[in-house]
Amino acid sequence: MCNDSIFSKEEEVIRESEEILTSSEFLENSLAIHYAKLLERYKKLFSQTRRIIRMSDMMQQELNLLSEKLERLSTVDELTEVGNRRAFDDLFLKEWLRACRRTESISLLLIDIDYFKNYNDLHGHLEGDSCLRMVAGAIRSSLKRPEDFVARFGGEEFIVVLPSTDVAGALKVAEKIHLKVAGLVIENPGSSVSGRLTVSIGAAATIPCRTMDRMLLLAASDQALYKAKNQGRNRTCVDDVQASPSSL
Amino acid sequence: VESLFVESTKSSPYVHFDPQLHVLEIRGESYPENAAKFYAPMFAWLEEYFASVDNDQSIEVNMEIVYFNSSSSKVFMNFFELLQDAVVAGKNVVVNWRCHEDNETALECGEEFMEDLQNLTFNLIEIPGD
Repeated sequence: MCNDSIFSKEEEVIRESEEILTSSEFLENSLAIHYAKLLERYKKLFSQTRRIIRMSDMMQQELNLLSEKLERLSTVDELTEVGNRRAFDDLFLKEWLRACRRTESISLLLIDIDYFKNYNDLHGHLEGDSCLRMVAGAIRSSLKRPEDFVARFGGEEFIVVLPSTDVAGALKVAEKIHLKVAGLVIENPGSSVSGRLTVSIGAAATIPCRTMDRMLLLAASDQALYKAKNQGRNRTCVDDVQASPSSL
Repeated sequence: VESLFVESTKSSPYVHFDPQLHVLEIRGESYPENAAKFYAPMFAWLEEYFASVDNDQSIEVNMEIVYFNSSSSKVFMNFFELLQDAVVAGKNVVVNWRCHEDNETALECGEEFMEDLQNLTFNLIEIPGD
């Protein structure tokens, strides 16, 4: 009976007690009535214990749901539904340390929407928000491996972490992102590049070691993004990781 | 008997037992570090109070607990049993278990408490959401 009950032992105690109480030897016993009362009290307390555990499970379930919700709120950018800055910080650190351990390359792509201010000024902020969501979607759909990660880095900036990826691999992903963004066909008359919405991308890759500051890779992608902007936008540039953090 | 008043904290509820109005209120969250220790003064107060009131006295108990831990639920069961004893002794005790209509967990827990009781009037009261 009730092998699936977590209380099979308690139930066994009750069953055995009842068997003893109804056995012929015990029926004659003057103590039987006292034992019967004790058993009733035990049954009552046991049913309370079951209730306590049921309630506790319900409360815990609710806390778990709440904690999932908070986890989501604290790691996801509400507008674009990609990771937020905090999620990037955590993930970048984790992947950086992993790359150190494996002596593997890791890449960053820093992506900025070209002339986004003009787009916003022309279409209004609601359209601007919708544009950010579409670009976020285009970037996300350009990432194929589960470990590739995109976060909103700032206003109209996104950052992609590509573990186990060298410069050549990073440039391939960047190219895909340019194509996907072009495929959105969002008009941006305020852009001097093409009249359509485009992005500039700064790429940087390195094989990190423990003594290296991971901010150097971020600074390199930032430098590369500046380069892409200065060279006319709608392109990807690469910058090398500097030996010293002088650029920060 | 003087009234009992305990301010709420992050982990313990607001408690106000009023012996003039015969209204006992517990409101808030209940996960004190030591539930037995936290609620001991309330049980001491109740013992004194029940000894002092007339047998047919109407007593209202209002509980609005958003969240409570397992120890607190055991304390509440002991509390309800004490109230049951008071009813058996002739007092007219009504418990109002109040919770927000969208707080299904608190509602279900109220039902669990209710099912455990005989003799004691236990009302589940849903507070409409805003």
